[in-house]
Amino acid sequence: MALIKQIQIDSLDQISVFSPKDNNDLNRDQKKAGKWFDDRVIHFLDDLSKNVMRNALIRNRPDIIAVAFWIRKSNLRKIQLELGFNNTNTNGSDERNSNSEITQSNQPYAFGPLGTIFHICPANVDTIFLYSLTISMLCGNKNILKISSRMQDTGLLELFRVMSELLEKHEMDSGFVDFIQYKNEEEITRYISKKVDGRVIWGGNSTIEKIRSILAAPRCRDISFADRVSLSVFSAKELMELNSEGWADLLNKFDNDAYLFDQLGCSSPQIIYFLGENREKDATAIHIFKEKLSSFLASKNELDAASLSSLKLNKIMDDIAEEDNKLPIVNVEFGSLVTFIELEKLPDIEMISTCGGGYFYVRCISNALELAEIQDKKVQTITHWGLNESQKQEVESLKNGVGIDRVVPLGEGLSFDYVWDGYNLFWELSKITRG
Amino acid sequence: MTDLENIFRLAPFELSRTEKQELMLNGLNQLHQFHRNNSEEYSDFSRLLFKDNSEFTRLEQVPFLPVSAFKNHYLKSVSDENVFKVLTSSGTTGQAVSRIVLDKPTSQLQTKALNSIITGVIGSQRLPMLIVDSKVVFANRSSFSARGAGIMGLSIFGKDHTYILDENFELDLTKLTEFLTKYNGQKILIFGFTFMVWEFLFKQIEKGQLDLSQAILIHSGGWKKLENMAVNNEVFKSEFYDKHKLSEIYNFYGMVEQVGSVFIENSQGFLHCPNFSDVIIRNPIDFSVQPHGEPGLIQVQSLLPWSYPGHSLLTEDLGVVMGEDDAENGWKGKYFKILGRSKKAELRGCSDTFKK
Repeated sequence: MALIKQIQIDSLDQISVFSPKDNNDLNRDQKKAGKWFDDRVIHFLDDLSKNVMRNALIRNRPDIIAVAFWIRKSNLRKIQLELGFNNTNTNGSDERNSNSEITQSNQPYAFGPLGTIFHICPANVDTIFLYSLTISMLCGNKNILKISSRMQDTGLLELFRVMSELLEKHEMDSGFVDFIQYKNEEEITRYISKKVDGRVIWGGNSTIEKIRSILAAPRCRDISFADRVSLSVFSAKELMELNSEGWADLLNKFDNDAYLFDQLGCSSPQIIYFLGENREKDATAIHIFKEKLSSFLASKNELDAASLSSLKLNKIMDDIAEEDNKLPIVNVEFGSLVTFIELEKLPDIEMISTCGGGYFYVRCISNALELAEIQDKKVQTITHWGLNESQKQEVESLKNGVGIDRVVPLGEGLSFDYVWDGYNLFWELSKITRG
Repeated sequence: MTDLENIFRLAPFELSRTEKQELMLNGLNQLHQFHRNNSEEYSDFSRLLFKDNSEFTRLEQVPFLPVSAFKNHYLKSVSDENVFKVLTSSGTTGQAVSRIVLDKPTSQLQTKALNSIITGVIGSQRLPMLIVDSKVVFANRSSFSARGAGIMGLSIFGKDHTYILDENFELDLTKLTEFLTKYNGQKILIFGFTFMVWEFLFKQIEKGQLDLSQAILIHSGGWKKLENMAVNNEVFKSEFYDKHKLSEIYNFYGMVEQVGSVFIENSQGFLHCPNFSDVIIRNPIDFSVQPHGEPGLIQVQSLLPWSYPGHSLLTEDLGVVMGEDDAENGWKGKYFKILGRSKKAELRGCSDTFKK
């Protein structure tokens, strides 16, 4: 079995979810497979989780391991309960071998699969699309996963290989997930778009615009994950009081949020707010933070410092020389792994666009409510550290405005939640009826 | 600029370290002040990134812009009505081109600088000139920028300019042999881009077909294409001598972004800084100055760019300084060699299923 099908316009029948034979299979399977939290899917995902965690080619990848952790049976059961299902399996037997007795609780809605979902995943190695794929499977959908022909990430390719192998083992090799690849031929995208019930489009914005310019079937649903801006907020005062253990913990967490996807994940902070007394007094804390972070990253030796220096030097020039739209920069602290660009005031949010690799815009504020300036539709996640209860509440309260989808503690910036970018993905990928 | 007039009167590689540093420092301090007052972008960049805006006491303290600044931005220090011409570079296909704003005085300085260097190696007499290219490069506006400008610049040192490629970029051997017969026994000048010279004048012509023992070859454009065929400067020179008896060959390194930075090969095959330009090798991570012999990013400094803030630029090329004031042929100044292009950052991130 070919792992990833190379689709040409004349070979669209290779997509198993569309082929007549498989449609029959699907009709036969419909009652079984087209179910929310089908045991077959859960067992498959749990098996996948175990295989991934012991796979030498994948297990050094924290992002994929996080997915593997998320799809463990115990976590999926927890989510199932959270979504309003009751566990009626009261005899205490080992769940692994028995079909569970989890049933929908007494609620006014019933959930079923939406149908066939077309997933368009990004070319680079951001792996969040694995969650939407997983959720779609749990909703009972059939799935087509378009993998960029430029995708060369060895960890992901190995994951796809393991998935294909296990789909076969679990007798789910037809219709559950089709991995396909084609050059960006509009005709193929159009053909598929006309046949599916939902499209999950992972950005950037130019990709989303391109895909959405291709009309889908009238009832097809588009779930798009566009470019976002995220930020971190630190208490400057608390930074000054940290001991070495505290620093180690903080730097690890910030590293995870900011550098796991080279600062280009949609939840990775592009702006850092230092909440303190005033700019002059907080300058020391900011400087110490930058120095500690730089040496922490240097000791990990994971980043190509030489190429990042040039990238950042060019970006500073761009930020300074942008015609008509100069950023209000008051100070620059240059460093190959960490560069701080301090802004006098917050510019139009569209101008906040890091080059990645540790290029942060910095703002100094003296009151948590000043974060209101960042309330914008484009803002996704605020990760916070060192705030007291009332400050935390003030930040939380900002979520209710037009922008800001998530407020989470530092270190959880990239932790996936099925409520993402304003969607409950389980609902979006389901057909909802009266219960 | 009076200092510059004096410098142009000297032989191009005459100034040794102490004299040169004094002249360069004086000139670069003036240029820094001038561009600070006339280019907002330069002023902001040097203030925010280099902090110090006072007078500099060492060449390495003078702020530098990244060379790509001219690709993404239109930077100039003269008013619009004084713009005489805008040079453009052709980068790799699909990339942004640099735009270099010249006024009349800076353009004249450029001519003088080139004149100083080229006549320094070929003498002041205009020589019959072969150009390893096609006249078609002038027909196409987009390619005129890079190759065309280079040919135009060098053409003033020759006469009876003869292009040896036809309109289809095929070698016109008849034209070439006619030219060589006509000037048999006389000094001639050959100019072309490195890979084209190799492709047409070397590969397509058999040994013994030509006698180029009286020729001076000047070529530029980089080694990337030839290095794929394992041809470096040493191989290039020894093969040309072996095949066509061509012994006088000068490679040079230059860039449209910095007027005056023309670094021509000395007798040891290293690129040599003329009186009015210098290089500093910087650590690619923290941009600190590397000692001689340590490789790093090449920063170029020149006393010529007044119309745009290009007097001090950090290039994307890697190189190493091989010596100073002690070249075998007696030339003064630093000499260096190019080690290739620096690597671009490859980041991961969320976006772009389609390549922009």
